[in-house]
Amino acid sequence: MSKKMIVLKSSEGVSFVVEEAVARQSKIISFLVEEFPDRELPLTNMTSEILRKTIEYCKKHVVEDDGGGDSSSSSSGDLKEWDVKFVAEIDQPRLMDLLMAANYLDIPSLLDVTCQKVADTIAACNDEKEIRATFNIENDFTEEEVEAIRMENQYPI
Amino acid sequence: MADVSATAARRIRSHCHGGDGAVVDSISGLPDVILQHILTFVPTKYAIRTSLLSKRWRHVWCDTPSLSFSSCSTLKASWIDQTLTRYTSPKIMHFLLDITENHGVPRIKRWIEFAISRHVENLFLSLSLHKYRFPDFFYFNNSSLKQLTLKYCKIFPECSVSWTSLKNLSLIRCSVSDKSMAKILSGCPVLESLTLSHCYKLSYLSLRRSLRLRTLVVERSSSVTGPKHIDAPHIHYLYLRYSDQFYNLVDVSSLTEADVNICTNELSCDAGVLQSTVMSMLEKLQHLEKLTFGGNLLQVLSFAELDGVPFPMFKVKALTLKTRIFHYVVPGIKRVLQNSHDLKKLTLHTIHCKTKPANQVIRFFALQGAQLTRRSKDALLWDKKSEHLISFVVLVLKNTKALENMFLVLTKQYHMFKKMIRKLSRYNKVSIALAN
Repeated sequence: MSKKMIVLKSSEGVSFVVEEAVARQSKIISFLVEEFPDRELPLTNMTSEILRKTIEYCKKHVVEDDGGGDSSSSSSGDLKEWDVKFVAEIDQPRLMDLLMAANYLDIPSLLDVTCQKVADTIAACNDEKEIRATFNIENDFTEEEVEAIRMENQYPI
Repeated sequence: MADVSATAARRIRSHCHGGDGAVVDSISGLPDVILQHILTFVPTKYAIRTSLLSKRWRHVWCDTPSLSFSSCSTLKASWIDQTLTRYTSPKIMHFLLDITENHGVPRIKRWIEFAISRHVENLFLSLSLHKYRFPDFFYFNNSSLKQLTLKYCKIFPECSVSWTSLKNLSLIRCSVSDKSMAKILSGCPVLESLTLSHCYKLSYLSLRRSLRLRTLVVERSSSVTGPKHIDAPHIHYLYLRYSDQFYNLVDVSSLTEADVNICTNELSCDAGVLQSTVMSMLEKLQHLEKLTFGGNLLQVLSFAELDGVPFPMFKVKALTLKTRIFHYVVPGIKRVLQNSHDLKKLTLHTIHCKTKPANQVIRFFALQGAQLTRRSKDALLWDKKSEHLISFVVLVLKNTKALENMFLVLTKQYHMFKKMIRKLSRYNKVSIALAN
């Protein structure tokens, strides 16, 4: 049985040939596939590296969804484990790019997985200074402002 | 769709760190909705902490569509109150309240009221130490609720229940009577999934009128009694973790898939009761195409097999076994395989199992040892070493006719057998796949 294929083109102009079922996990692509019969979709704001990663994720998830129609909790558990590994191997700048890709292509599960990883990083920091250092956030508050917000928050940590 | 490239452009600041070039703030440039989506995954106290990061972050948390106050003893009631007054999102997707201290009934009532007033969709309440009884408004006029998890709660609706959008209901260690349960079910017309984990007082669970209910999860332990009878003619999927006491599946005629095991640290009850309970359950499950059996259940089946109890024929096509591989489960597995002529796919999850075999099973094996037939001797000689895995694969190959695929999900101690198993698969028409 031949499967329908579509072509996705990265910002560098590299073409990726993907099974339609794989690509359709993106709601945007799902929509575009129906609009554009020529089946080559330029994704000008996605680098080849990030597109490759995104496709890897979609492939894994489409296989698991179809694989013998196995919907048992164990296989979804395995899939979660795979997801955790998948994002654990990505460094932070690329994780952000992947998160934006998930948002852009509208792949809710990938967006959740990447956001979860960022959230875990935020929660693992001891204080706001560590968060700033981790994400290179510039502190544009004065000391008095910080103190005022701290008073307002009074969070019990 | 707007041009996302623009929003995707990350802010680059040219901080100079000893001449190594630009340092990228990889997060602050993200749109508010995404930052808030990220913050839905952390407890609210951490979300609030981000207001200290920079001006960009000052008020981001206030619109996070999620509030999570989880069980830390330092969680002061006044702090929760204050947080709620500063919270601006008109819609709450997730609201989690997990408290172990007694903050007083009026306060808890106010917090729940707050969540409901912001149209909460997914509500999780764990109110241990409270014996808290929900006010009437909680039960009715609550149409935004889609998912509800209650833990350590007393569920006793005096008014009628109206959860018209509720799809998933989980009750964990709750006190709920048959009458209260019936009241709740009658107020949930679109309920799709029900979880009852260690709920007491429940005895007879009738899901006859829950026409849309597809998934039922019931967990029961020796110390928690109910429900003993499950009448669920419309469900498709059943996950059952039962104690070694009597239980009865009254009607599960629409089932297509089940995952069953006996949950206990030691099989200790009257073997006769357990055996007849399990065998009558098997009869109800014999027509299913997808089955999962746990190790303790397989032990009981082994006992039944050695005892000469007749087994039904199974229609199962995909069978999953979650068990430690040792000889106490072998006779049961063998019998199930021999009675499953349509079996196409077998999955084995090896697990570390702390459960001791039933005394009766051990005794039985010991007794049988004196008068071994050759067939059962194979089973009995399996010791605790991991060669079992090979023996298991051989046992499966010998006792199945239509099998096409075998999946082995192995714990670490079996990894050294991977090569042998691959070899084994070459000589058979059954494909054997390994997963970690």
